[in-house]
Amino acid sequence: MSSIDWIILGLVLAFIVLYGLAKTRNQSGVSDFVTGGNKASWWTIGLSVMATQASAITFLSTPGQAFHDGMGFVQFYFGLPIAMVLISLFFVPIYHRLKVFTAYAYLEDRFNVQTRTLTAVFFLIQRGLAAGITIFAPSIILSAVLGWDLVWLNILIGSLVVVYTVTGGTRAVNITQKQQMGVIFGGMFLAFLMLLNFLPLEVGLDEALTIAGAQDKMNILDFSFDFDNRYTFWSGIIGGSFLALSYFGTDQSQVQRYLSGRTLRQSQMGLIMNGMLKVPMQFFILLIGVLVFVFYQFNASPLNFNPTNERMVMDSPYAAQYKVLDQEKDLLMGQIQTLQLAYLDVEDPAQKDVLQKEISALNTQQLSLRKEARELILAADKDAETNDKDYVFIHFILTQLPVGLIGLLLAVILSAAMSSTASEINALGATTAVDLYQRHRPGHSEKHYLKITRYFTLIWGVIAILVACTAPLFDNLIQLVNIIGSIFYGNILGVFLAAFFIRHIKGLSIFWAALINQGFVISLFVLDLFEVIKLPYLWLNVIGCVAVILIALIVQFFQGDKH
Amino acid sequence: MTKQTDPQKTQVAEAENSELSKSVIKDTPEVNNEFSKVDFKGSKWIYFMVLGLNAIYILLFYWINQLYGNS
Repeated sequence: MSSIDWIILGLVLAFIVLYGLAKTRNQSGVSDFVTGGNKASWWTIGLSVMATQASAITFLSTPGQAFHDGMGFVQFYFGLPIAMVLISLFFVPIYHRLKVFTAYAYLEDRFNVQTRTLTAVFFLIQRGLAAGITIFAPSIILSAVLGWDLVWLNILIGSLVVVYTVTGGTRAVNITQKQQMGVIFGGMFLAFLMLLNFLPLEVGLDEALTIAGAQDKMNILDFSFDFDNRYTFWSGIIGGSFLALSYFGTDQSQVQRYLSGRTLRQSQMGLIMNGMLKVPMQFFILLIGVLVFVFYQFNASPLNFNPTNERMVMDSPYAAQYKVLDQEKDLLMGQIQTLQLAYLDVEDPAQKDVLQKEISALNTQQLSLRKEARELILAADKDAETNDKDYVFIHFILTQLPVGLIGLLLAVILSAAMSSTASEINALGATTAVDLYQRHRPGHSEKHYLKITRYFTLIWGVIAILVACTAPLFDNLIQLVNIIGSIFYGNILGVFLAAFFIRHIKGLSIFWAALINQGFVISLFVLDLFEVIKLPYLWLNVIGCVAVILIALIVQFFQGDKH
Repeated sequence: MTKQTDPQKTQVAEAENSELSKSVIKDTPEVNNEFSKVDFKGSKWIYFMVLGLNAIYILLFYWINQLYGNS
């Protein structure tokens, strides 16, 4: 990386952190720290909500997803606008009316303190681990590609976030997220323009989409009811709504964003803004991935986009075999380029069809070579992660973009990592301070609680960095965190839905139901782990949500009107 | 608790909170009843707009799918 890239990267990050610090030095109390003094406008909230959800992995992984599997992933977000409307209509008015600092405080008002504490603890467990992964996931990719030290990268991202989150609280998170989203949007738009510029002169956007479409990358909508296909219109609308409802409605890292609104209407409009922009934003990021695919139809690409894998296999006894595969791949690439240009020139549909089939056959051969390459990598190191989806876009950035833009795009990735981590640490600190400490140790001064909230934010920041640093010790930790999230998420959503919509469920019933259900969901997971039953972990969300409501209804039936 | 704002009035705030909790629990049926009559406060158009806009996105995707897709 050139010194100009380093300067741009350093200046962007330093500006964001210093601006956040300068604007939010004085905090008068817990309210100011946790809800930002309720000063945020709708567009600040909207950007903050979007920045919280869009982690670094979104910008590294999503283009790679489109590169391999096309645009179909956009369907995953179809349920999000529905969830935004429902949360604006039902969740936000209640949170605002009760003037709660955290989502879980509402559960005390509706049920009892035990239910509040239980759900807060569930949140802390799953989000505490997730915060570490939000730092670790981009670090592992950047360290592999750039050769930076993984531990120092974790410490750098984590420390930058901790500095302004501990000092400025929610307002600092909101302010910095505005700058971060500016960098992210600007950087991604420039990458899009550069990609178009890098394509051969004969290939404009229309031609690029035609090429991508011919290779099945533009199959955006799938209306089938195929359960083997993860992303369909129906799974997006139904499953996506549930997931978004649970994440945006009950996860404190998101709830805290819109609780900082100046008025109820500003909070609602912030969510609506997210509902309007999220789908086109994801479409745009996927489109960049599709253009990267088209770019590599005319330019050489590695057999595996993860440079660590390539280095490792070249140092192993399998190097000669890998080189042979690489030469075969280069031969295929040359043929693909020639045929792609011919495809664009030909007018006759029948001839076009023939050419398209030939190109598809060559691309399939290329995929087989990549598969063989992965097998060699695994033979050289059985623990190697051969899936290179996350490395496609960063490889393009580092090898193709001009000096200066590389620094800016790295700033995009680090900004995204920081924006999500900041919201998570901010929410973890607030939940620990408000729902656990302040609730169970009342009677201290506002200054004391502010200090404690800052301490907890700092402690969670350190925990997140430690989780990120120890993550390589565990196999497939990202999946582990998703599993832990799925174990708790459904249960928490079920408790909130019961609170909002089923009036005769009372505190004692829901508390016991949540406890019993958590045991039930963990049992299901263990049964699946030991292959007694077959249950993909994503279904734990749905089962957990429905089961806690059913158990609460049964307990309530035996309880009668007592609560 | 959740509503403290003045360090000098912590105990008062605690007592108020306790009262608040009681009153909210007492008022819960009222809170729930409000779901059946959501107050759009004259801006229901924004909710229809966000859903309508996303329906347009999906139609646009359908059109792009027809134009460039291969399925």
